Amino acid sequence: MVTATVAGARARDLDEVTLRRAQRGDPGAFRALVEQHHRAIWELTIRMLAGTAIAHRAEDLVQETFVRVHRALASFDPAGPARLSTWILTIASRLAINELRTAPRAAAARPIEDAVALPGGESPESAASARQRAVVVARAVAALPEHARAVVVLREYHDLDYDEIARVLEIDVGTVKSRLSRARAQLRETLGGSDV
Amino acid sequence: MSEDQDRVDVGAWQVPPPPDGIVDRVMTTLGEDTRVAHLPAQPVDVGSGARRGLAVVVAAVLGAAAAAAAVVVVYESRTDEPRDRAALGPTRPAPVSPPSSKKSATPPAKARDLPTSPRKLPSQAAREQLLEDIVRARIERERVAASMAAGGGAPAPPGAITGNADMDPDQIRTSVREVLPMLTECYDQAPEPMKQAGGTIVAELTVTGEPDVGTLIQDVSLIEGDKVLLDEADFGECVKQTLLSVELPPLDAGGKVTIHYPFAFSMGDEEDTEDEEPEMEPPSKTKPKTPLPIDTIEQLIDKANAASRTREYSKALTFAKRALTLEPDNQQALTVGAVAACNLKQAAVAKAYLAKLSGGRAGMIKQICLRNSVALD
Repeated sequence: MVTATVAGARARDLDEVTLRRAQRGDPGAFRALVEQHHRAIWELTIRMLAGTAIAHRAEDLVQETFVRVHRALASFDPAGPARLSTWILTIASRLAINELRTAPRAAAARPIEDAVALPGGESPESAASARQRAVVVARAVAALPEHARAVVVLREYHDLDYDEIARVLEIDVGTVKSRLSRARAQLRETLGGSDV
Repeated sequence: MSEDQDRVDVGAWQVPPPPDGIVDRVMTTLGEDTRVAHLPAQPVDVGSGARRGLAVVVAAVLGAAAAAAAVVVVYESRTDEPRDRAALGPTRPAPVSPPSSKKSATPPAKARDLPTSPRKLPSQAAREQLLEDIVRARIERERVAASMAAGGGAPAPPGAITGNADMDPDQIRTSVREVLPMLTECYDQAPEPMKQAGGTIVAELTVTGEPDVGTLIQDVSLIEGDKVLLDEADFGECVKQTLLSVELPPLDAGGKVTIHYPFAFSMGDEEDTEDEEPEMEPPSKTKPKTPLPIDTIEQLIDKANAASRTREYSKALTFAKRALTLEPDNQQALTVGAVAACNLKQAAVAKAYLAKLSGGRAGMIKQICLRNSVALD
């Protein structure tokens, strides 16, 4: 239970020319940006909201993310400290965290299974086993506090380094490390008792 | 990476792919956004006419008897919706929209700079565009509400009015009152006998709006009033066209209401004008015929704070706006206004106030907005 498997959902960044065109308001170029990044934003949002009462709002948050990206894209500096993909993940992460903070606590949570892909190309038995494994992991990640969850999702599924996570979440690198360490300990404890 | 030696394998959790058509839906939303964002914002030219010669006093009649009659008369029913739909025209396809969201109900105007006080729209085309965006957003909001109701919530009763019943009469009254300075030009240009006589006219205004898109006066009729004013067709037309050319600050709730709003016109002294012609002004006409009940800025701020403490943020914002008309940079009014705007999720208003706030207060407001998911960047 200690080896790393990174899903690697990070999107390639747009080429410079397309980015410039998108920044100047070219709809075609912006569409290219959306096509390139929407999957990563979708995956981040799904994982952040999984199992909560607002899990059904994932598509709304993806849309809202790109509305904000569109609004602020002209101010994005390609020569700045953040890559475009990280910058977009920043917007999506903060949106998701804010939504989780203001989500109605009393509302019924959505089934975690909604946020788990159906495995394909395997025998029915192995597919069922894989799905079972995925549900257990998803439940464990979803059980983390929202900030810890964000750190885990950005590190494990989007391959952001500690500095990038710190910038995204506006916390210092030490806090990233400590949150990640605690989150991993919690995950290890949760998953250690399961057949994963 | 050495820090990752304690890594836990969570790679088994793969998520479902994005829904089909999500990119198209994003682009549809942004297509609307782009078009609207190109509307140039124009500063409001408030009361320029009042600085020439004799001052013109235009007042909303809010005296004891009139106050009760000043606002809401008719909430329009949903039966108007087909007319709104028809107004969109047959050639424009309905926007593709996401399956379930209040927020996505009115995304087109999120990039628009919504006004914090009435402003003139740059052109008739801009007005028509805004009206169309409002109608589209309303249709979408109602569609989402209907689908949410169908998806497990309590079904809406037949013919229910969505949003209209939530429109705040005080907010509408305040909003329309802020248009008054724009009407001074009409009065200024009117024939002298009419100006000397003064009087009151009652306008029937149909106000339509959606919170994240905009608000405007859709229709105006001058339904009653003093004959001397009603007989001046040019004056009446000027009043109507002025009201129709204005975009109002966004209301907290969407919908369409018809209100009766009395305006009192009279001439008053211009205190700081050197080129006025006092001989033209009979002494009896130098005061407003109907004095406005006026709160001091301190009273308004107190009322705003009191409303905010009881979480009546619409009221708080209304009082804060009134205070800011007296003293636009008052930090207390800006603070309570921004707090209310954040709680009402009126990002544009919150941003406008935040820009005028000092560092410490601004930081607090940012935190409040953040807690309310109101983005200020």
